[in-house]
Amino acid sequence: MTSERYRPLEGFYDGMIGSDGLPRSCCAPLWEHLTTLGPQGLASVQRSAELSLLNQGITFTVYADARGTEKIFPVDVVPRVLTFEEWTRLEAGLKQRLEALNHFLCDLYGDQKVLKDGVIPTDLVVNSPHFCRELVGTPVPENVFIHVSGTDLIQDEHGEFLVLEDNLRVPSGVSYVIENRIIMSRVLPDLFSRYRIFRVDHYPQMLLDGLRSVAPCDDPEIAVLTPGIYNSAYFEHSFLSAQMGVRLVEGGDLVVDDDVLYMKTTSGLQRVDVLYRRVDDAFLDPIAFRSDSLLGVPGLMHAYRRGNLVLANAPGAGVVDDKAMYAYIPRIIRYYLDQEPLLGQVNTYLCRESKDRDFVLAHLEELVLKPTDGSGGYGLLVGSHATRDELAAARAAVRAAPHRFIAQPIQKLATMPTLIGDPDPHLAARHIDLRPFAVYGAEDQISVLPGGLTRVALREGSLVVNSSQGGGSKDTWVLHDGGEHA
Amino acid sequence: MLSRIARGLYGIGRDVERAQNVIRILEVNHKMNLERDPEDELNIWLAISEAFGSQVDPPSEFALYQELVLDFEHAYSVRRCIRSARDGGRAMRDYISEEMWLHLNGVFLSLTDLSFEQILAEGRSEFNRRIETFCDAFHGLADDTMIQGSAWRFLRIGKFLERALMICRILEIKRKVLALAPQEEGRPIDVHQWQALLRSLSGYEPYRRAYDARIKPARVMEFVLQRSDFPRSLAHSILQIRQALGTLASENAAQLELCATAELFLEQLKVLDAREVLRSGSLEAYVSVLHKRCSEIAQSLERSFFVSSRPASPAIVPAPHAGLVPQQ
Repeated sequence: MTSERYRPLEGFYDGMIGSDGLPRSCCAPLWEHLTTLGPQGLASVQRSAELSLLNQGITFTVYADARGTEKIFPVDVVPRVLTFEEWTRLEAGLKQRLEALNHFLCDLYGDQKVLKDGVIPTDLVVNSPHFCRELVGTPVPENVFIHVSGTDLIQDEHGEFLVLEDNLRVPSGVSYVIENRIIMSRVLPDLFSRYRIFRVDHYPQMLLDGLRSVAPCDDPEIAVLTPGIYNSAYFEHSFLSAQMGVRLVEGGDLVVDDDVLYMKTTSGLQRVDVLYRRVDDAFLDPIAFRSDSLLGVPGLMHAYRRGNLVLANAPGAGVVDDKAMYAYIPRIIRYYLDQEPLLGQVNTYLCRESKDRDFVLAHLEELVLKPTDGSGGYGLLVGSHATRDELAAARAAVRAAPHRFIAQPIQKLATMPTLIGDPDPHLAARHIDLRPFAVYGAEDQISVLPGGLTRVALREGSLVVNSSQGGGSKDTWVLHDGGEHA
Repeated sequence: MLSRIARGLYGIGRDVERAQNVIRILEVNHKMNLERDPEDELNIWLAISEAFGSQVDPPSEFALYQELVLDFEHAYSVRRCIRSARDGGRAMRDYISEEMWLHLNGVFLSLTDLSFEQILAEGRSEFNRRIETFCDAFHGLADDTMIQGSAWRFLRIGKFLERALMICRILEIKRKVLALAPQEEGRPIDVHQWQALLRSLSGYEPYRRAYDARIKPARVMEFVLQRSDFPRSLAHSILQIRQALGTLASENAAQLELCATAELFLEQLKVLDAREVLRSGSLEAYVSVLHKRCSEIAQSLERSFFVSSRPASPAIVPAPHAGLVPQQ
C-alpha cells in the first residue's frame, strides 16, 4: 500500500502526516483516496497528467540547454492542502507586506522620507542595480508599483510560513496554477468531489480588473509584452493574453511617437495605455537602460515618464528584490503601517557588514549563500551540499565583493508526499515551497489568488525547487471553511 | 490585427504554396525526363535551375533535389518552406486552428532526418505526392476550420500571391525550354512542354474538360492566365487577392491604392490576346510584365499593411541569446 510505505523526514514539517504519524485532519480524505488508488494506480494517473501537458504544449524552455529544448513542468498528482485558517492568516500577512512594500516604493521614488529617517541605509538603495535613479520624482499612476507579485514562501519545521523572496519584477508561474487544476480535476475527478476547494481560474479576470483599475481612461487598450517565443515563460505570456482577451506584443510591434506608445497594426498605429510587460527593466528601452540591448522599444521610458503609459509592474520595483534589502523589510512594515509583521521571514546575514561577513565565512557549510541580485536559483550555493572547492571559490567571491552576497541559515523546508516513478512507484517525502500570486489595484485593493504555485524539489534531499533546476509542481488547494466533507 | 501577425500568416500562406509548386515542378519534369527522346539534347533541369536562382552546375535532378528540397537555406527549398511555415505556426498558434497546427507540425517532424536516399527509397513520385497532398490539405483545413476573418485573409493573400508569382515563373521556365528548341508549333517537344506547363499547375485535366485534348499554345495561355474559374490561374489568384484586400483595407491611402492596383491588373488580364502575344513573339516581354505586376503587389502589401504608417523604430534584430532575459 502506498501510504504504509510513506515515512515523513525526521525533523521536518510534513504537509500530509502530522507529528503523531497520522494524516492531518484536512488530509484524511485525500490520504484515504491515495491509499485506495495504490502506487500503480497513482503512477498511471501521473502518466496521464504528463501526457496531457505535453500534448497541449504547456512547456517551458531551459536556458542552459543550447538547443532550446521544450520541457514540461511536471505536476505531481498528490495535491497540497491548505486549510481555510492557514490560508486566511497567510493572505492577511501577504497583503500587509505588499501594502508596506508598495508604500515604500512610492516613498523611495518620491520624498524619500524612509532614507531621511535612516530606516534604510542610503547606500544600499543607490547602489542597488535595480534602483532607477532617473525615476525619482516621476509620479506612478494610481500609486501602484507592484501590480503583480509572486511571493516565495517556505514552511519551517513548525509549519510556520516564512517569506523567502518577494519577486516584485516579473514573477512567473501563475499559468501552471490554473493548468494544474484543470489537469488534476480531469485525472482525479472523484477526489474533487470529497472537498470544497477555492477556484483559481478567475486569475485572468482578476489581473485584467487590476490593470484596468490603474488605467488613465475608461476603455484602455491593454497589451502583454513578451520577449518572444524563445523565452522560458512564453507559454504563460500567450496564455494570459489570450485569457484576458488582450494583445500579446513583442518589442518590434511597438513604436513610440511623440511620447505615446503605439502598436503597429494592419490598420495603422493603435495607442497602448497599459503595458503588462513580462521583460525586465533593463530590456524595456535601449535608450534609457542598455544601449547594447536590441530588445525593447526606443523611447518607451519617455512615454512612461510623461504619464502617457502605465507599466505593470512599474520600473524600479526590483529594488525590493535585492536580497540585502530583504533584511530590512520587517522595519519597512513597522515604519509605514505601524504594525508588527504578520508573516515571518528568514534570518539574513548581510556580507556587507563585517560582523555578519566574518560569521558567514566561518560557517559557510551551514548556510545558503545568495547573490543579492540573483533570481531563479542561479548562482545560489547550499553550503552543506557544496564541495570543498566550491566553498573555497564562494569564500573568495564573498571577500572580493561582500556587498554582492547575503547568507541565510539552511532552511528546513517542509515536505509533502510526492510520487516517485519508475521502476517502483512509491510516495516519498520531497521538499516544497509556495508562491502565491497577488494583484495590486488602485486604492490599495489587493487580491491574492487562493493557494498559488507549490513547487517541489523532485530530487531526493534537494532544497532547490526552481523549474529551471529540475523542480516540479503540485496543485495547491485552499479549502473553504469546513471544506473537507469526507 | 498586429502587423507582425498579419505578415506571419501571409508568410505561412506563401511558404506552403511555394513548397507545393516547387515539388510539382520537380515531379512533372521528373516524368518528362523519363519519357524524353534520348536524341534530344535539351536539358530540362537547366531552365528550372535558372528560374530558382540555383547555383548547381551542371544542373541535374539529384543536384536540384539537394538544393530545392533538402537544403535549409535556399529560399525555394521545400524543407526550408515547411520549417519556416511550422515556426510561424508555432508563434501564431492562437490565430490558426488546432487541426492546421497538428498537420503542419506532423509534416515538419516527418522531414527531420530526410535525405535523397530516403526520397529514392520512398519513391520520388510518392514523396512528391505526399508533400503536394500536405499542402492541399493545409489550405483545405484553413478554409474549413478557421474563422474567415483577418487572419484567414492574410493567409489566403499569401497563398494566392505566391501562386501568381509561381505561374509567372513556370511560364518563364517553359518559354526558355521552348526557345532552346527549334520553333515549330505542333512538334512533339512543343506539345509536351505546353502539356507540362498545364501539369505544373495541376491544370491538365481541368484543361481537357474545359476544352478538349488538343494542346494549343494560345488556349493554354488563356487557360492559365485568364480563366478566373480555374483556381490555379493568374486571374483567379489576383481576384482572390483583390477580394481579400477589399475586406481588409481601411481608410489608409496606401491600402486603397493597393486595391486599385489589383483591380487594374485584373482588367489588363481580361483584355490579353494570347494568340497575338505568341504570334508576335513577345512572350518573353509579356511574361516579364506579369511578373513585375505581381512583385509590385507584394511590395505594396509590405508598405501598406506590414509596416506602420509613421516612421518605425529601427528594425529589431534578435541578438544572439535574445529573449534570454532572466525571469524570476
